[in-house]
Amino acid sequence: MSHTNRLLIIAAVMTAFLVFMLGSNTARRAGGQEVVLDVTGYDPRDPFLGHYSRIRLDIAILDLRDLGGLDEIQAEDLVYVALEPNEAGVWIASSLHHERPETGPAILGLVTSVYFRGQADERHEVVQIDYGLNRYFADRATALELDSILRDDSRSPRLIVSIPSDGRALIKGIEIDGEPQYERLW
Amino acid sequence: MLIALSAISFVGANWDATPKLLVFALLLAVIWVSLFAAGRAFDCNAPVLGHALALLGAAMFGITIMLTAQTFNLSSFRNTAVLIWALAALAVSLAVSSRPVMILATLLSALWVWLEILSPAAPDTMWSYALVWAVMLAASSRLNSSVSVNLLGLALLPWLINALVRGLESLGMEAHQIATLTLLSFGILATGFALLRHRQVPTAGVIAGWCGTAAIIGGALIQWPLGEYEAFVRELNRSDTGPGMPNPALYVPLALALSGGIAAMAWINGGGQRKRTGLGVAIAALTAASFPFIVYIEDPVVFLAVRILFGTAYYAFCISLILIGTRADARATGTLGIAGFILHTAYVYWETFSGLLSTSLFFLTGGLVLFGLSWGLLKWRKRLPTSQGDVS
Repeated sequence: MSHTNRLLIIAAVMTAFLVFMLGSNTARRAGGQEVVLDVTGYDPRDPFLGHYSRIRLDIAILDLRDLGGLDEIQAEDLVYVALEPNEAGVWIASSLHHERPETGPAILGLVTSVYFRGQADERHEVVQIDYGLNRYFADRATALELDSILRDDSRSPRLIVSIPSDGRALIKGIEIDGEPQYERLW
Repeated sequence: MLIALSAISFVGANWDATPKLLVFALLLAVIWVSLFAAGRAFDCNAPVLGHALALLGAAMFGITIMLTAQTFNLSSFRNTAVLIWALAALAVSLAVSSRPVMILATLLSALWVWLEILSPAAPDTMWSYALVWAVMLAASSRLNSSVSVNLLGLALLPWLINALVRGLESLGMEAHQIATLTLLSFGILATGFALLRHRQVPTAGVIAGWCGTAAIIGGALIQWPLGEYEAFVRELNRSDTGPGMPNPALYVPLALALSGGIAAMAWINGGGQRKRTGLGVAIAALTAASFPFIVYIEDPVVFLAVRILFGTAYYAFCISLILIGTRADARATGTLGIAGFILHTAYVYWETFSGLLSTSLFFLTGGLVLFGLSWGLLKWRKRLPTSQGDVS
């Protein structure tokens, strides 16, 4: 077989992988349950890769006093955070579990640290959880707008997330001043 | 590489002007064009251009994974993508026998394992790298890529140290036991790969060299904390607050198996010099295996005597390597032996002498020893052709 044909077969396999990666993520995003989460954020930057905002979900830091479910929790545990909507339509954490709860949406995260806050009787455990949703890539105008909104305490941007059945969340879009902007393929 | 970087920047610069699927299609097109052009270049007997384009195609695959993940906000991007990139680069390198692409594949596989080790979501030991490493070594050997083989040797050291330390820690072993077993593991790998080299696997010698370097430096370093510990024993005349006793059921079989393996392979490697070299290596391996127990000696005088015995065994080990290095095909082993000898001599000096007069005496003794050793080696080498002639 010629060198050209060998490399074209490899190119075809590479293409198949990339199309599968894009297709499977798109299908998972479309099929999951949609929830809207509050975020805080940092600056958009990247000289090579375009613009993005570093974001932190409000449910990334959870006070165990406010939650049901697990009592024993350690760093590097994989946990499901059960979500429920509040009056404003934003989904907030209601309980923590090692196994996926049978009802309601639950987002899978990795516990990165467990620490204590407060003193004496007020001392309580707080957990920090990574959901793999730390960056939101956008075009320059949206990223800059998002950055200014994230710095403005009077405005509250939200992340629209799709939660498939395995709990591994995917970003579906962003909501700015109540206006959703969904991710598109084109 | 510059063209690949320009592709990344181009996508970044035209983010809002280009439809996302068009960006994806453009990136795929760059992969196809670069790999097709690389194939044509090889088929038209233009290998230099072919290597450059194959490298571009392999690099663009990984860049496309990253850019696709960010363009479509695919949060499920994982370190596994780096492994897939490495395997794709490996396939390209084997398809056109490209050493530059093989180097890229080697670097990516090492990057993958460290990204996984540092990730809290993956295991700390990552034993699966052993399989990836072996595949990369086989491919590098097939392509005769000495750069890749050296990179693999270099990548092996931190990965194996990390895997052994964490693995043995999880078995409840103490630091000095872990250090000993790690050292012996490098010893067995060094002798094993040296054996493969004698069985006409040329690149195995490079890995033997890297593992041997780790074993020699480790053998010298493992003794360094003993000076401080000896002072502690002298001061308190007891060692019951020292490191914990190794679990014999776990430690002894492991240590004996490793020492036995090293001794057997050194014996096989030794060829016509088995008695001289195999014995020295075997004594050093057994001495190293007994190292953790030195900290339970309570009498300071006995402690010092055992330390000297350990040092002597290490010198015997280095001299064995120097003797092996007198063979024309094993010069690197001799260099390693000399390096170990110098390293240990520096340690002995540091631990023993302080004033100028004693320093002078130390250098005089060292000089005489080296003169004696050189004279002995010279005489021994002169006898080598005769004995080889007898064999033939």
